[in-house]
Amino acid sequence: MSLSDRDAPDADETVDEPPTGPATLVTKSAPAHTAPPTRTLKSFRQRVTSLAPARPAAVPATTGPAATAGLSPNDVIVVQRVVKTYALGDIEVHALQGVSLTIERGDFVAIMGASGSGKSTLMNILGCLDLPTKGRYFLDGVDVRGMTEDELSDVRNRKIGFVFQSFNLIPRTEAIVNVELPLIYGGLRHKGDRRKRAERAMIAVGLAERLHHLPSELSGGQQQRVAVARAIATNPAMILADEPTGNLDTTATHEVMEIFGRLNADGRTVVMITHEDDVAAHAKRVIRLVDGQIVDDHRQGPVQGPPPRYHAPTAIEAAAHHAARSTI
Amino acid sequence: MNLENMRIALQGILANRLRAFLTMLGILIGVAAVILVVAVGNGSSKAIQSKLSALGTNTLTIFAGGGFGGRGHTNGTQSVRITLTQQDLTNISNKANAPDVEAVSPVASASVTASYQGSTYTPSSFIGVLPIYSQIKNRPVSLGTFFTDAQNQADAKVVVLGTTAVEDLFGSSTFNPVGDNVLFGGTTLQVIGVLKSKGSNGVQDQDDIAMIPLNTMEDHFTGVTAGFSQFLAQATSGNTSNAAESEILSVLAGDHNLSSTVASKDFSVLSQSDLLATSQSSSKTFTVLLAAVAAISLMVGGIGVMNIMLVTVTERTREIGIRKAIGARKSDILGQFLVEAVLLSVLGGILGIGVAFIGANFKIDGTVPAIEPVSVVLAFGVSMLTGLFFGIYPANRAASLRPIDALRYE
Repeated sequence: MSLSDRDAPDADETVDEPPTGPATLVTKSAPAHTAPPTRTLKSFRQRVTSLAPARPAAVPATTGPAATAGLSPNDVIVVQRVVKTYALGDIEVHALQGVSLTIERGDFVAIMGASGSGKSTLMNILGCLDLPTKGRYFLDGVDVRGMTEDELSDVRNRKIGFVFQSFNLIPRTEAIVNVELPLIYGGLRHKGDRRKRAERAMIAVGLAERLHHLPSELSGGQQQRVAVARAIATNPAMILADEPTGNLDTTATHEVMEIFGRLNADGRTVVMITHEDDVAAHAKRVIRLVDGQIVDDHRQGPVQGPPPRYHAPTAIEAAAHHAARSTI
Repeated sequence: MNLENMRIALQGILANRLRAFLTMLGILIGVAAVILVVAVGNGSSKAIQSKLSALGTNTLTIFAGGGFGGRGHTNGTQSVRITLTQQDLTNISNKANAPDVEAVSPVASASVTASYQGSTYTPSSFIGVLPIYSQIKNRPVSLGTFFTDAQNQADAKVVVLGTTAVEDLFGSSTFNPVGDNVLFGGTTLQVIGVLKSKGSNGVQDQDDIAMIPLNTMEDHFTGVTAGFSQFLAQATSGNTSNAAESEILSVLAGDHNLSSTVASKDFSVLSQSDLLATSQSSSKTFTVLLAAVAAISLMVGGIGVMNIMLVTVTERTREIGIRKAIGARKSDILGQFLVEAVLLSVLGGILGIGVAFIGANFKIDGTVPAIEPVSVVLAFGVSMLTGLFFGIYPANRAASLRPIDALRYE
């Protein structure tokens, strides 16, 4: 039950030094992978730590078939012909029907689709909360196929920062402690380090003054910013946001989108599920899902550089938006 | 399992104070009951022990006749009547024969009615003994003196009374009767002393007694008989009473020309420790029985812990989902809820120990409870194990939740 068997995150993975660009990171961590580790479950944890945050080209060689798949070290997410089937009683539900997708480091991707389009399923798979029925998924170069529950926990801890629609902060727990949680589960035992990193994350989302507030004492926008701080605390390979603005008013939406924009401009990969067009407009790339298949994938801005500015809808648009939402 | 889990668990408990308190109450009552029941049993056995040791420590009672089946053994067709003789007395008193026997006195008893100025009284115990009996039996006088060897030799017509005898004859147990003459049967005896009150030994009133010199008893009441029915001996210390017992038996075997097996049948030597063991084993059985009942209540408390932990896990399903999503492993969740369950029951256990210590200050059914440190440690340990045992199932249930299901839980 001790955490000692888990390596603490690398000392150089600090929150205030987000990945500035893939090129520097590759050169930085490449020597560490000249001797590829064998694929054993035991060595996995070590691998997760040593590979973060950037993943060099060594991985395909170690994972066999992946080498032929042409994985680039710049790809944070590589989804290959993923199928997800649920058994609902006797009926088989095909939530995803062969989705292939590659997301580059530093990209800002919005995944859109109506309810039932499979976007939640895709989100669960991208977030390593669920495993595909068929197909492969490489997250930051690591194949998640056949991983145990604990290994998936570690992958989520190190490589993914979750932001949920309903904030999902732990109730009755100070904001700063919420942000510290992933670091605790990551095995960072030094309390001072943990606090320092959590504080940096809180500063990054502009909540330096609210460290010791309880979630119930914060507004929706502030809670969501705490959630973002929690997501970036471990300096993950990507931020996975599931309708992060779905429960927020326009002002708070603006605040949160601005933070996502800033994080992305700093080089962080953001994958966001949304059904709001004005939110999707802020992404560099928009993917549309219908019936478990990608039907549209278009780029709105270059992978490098800042994302398109988020334009708050005008009062009339906002009112229409609200009216549309309240009828749902 | 670290400090973080401890903090989380404490927070969970504090968030639902009333519920946590009611859950702890089950453990509290169980632990307090176990400790108090054992304490009462321990207290009563201590009381019996002190009463028995007040009877006279290291004393050995020697009867002619093994057990209660009658005296003597069968020698062919003839039944041989065995009694304790003057020679036995001399030989047992001889340090060379029985080095571990400090003193020995025959006890001759008779039944008489005493009268004093119209009031009559029949002591339940009217015995003729040697002066050393006062020391053997640990019966000092509170008023006057005990009779002396000279008085015994001289057949002095003197008597030492217990306080019940004084009360029955003179109307008050605090009356000083020393110097008064009391008619015992047809013989007038002068009261020379009053025994210090000893109260009841649980079987009989030890103050309902009158003692006279052995020779006086033989000359005026029983007549000089061939032997005595009972000796009272004192071992040199509590540790030597077993040795004294076997020395006495071998002296008796020698005196009566018996093999040692026959001797142990014809004579019985009962030590105070035998009596102690008997009374303690009966009180122990009682204590064990009650403690078992108390332990059941502790188990019921444990079921309460399990119940509330299941509720807690259900309530916090979403939180579990969040924790798993951000990287908590199965063992992290398991640890968190186990620590909470153990903390609940341990806090209940500590409160229970507190209640038991308060309760131990009161007399329960005439007994002052004496808390046994072992029972405190045991009850605390068991409460901890209870939390662990009854916490495992709910904690495991929490740890096994799938994050997507847990996150979706409303």
